[in-house]
Amino acid sequence: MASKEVNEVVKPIILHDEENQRDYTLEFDRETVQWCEQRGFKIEDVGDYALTKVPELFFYAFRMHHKNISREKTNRILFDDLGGMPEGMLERLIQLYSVPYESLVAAKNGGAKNPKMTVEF
Amino acid sequence: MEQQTPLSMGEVFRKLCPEYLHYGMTWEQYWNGDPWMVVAFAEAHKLRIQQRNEELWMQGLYVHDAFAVVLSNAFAQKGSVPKKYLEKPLDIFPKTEEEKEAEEERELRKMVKQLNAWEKRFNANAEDGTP
Repeated sequence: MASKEVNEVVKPIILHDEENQRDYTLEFDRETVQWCEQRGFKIEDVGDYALTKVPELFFYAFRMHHKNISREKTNRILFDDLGGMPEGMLERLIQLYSVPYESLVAAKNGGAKNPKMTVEF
Repeated sequence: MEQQTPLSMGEVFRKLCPEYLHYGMTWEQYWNGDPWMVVAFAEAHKLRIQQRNEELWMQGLYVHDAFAVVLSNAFAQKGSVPKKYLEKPLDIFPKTEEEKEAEEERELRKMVKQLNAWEKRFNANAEDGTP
């Protein structure tokens, strides 16, 4: 089981579309997280309402780098091209969603890593 | 007592935004840049405060020294050598090896000069017969 420190940099997810020879970079900045919340999205709902909230989170992850992508397109990528959420991707998306907040907490704590705080997957 | 509801992430971002703009981040850097940039900006802000604190402390030191010179000269006995304000600013950076060697060399020369002068005086006194 992988164990990683909270402050460790979480790499963005990169999806490669063979058909169109296009890369999609999935990550979140503060503006995107705020945008998601303004649409009523709560990250804690992902576990309880996975069927609707996981595709929603997947769609939001495109917004930072691919603002004009449609929900239909991200659903097609998720369900048709990927055949569902690959293993580990949901955990990574949640981590990426938390980074804009965690970085502020780290800045408040002097940027020091807390060796007592670990996340396991 | 009324319990406060915890702030959402967006509310925290909006609340802390002015603080980071004050630290020198741009709007784009804060909202759309690498989220970890805030750590470096917060650290840089701390360094700036520390630097300002040290500058003020040093200013106090110079003012203290200036007053000490003025008061010492004002109340000095007649004929005594007047005190001077520092000839150059205090060294705040550690000396390099070359600078250390040059300073040692200067000190050595000064000491030899003093010893020579002392020897000359001693010999002159010996010739005169004065102790």
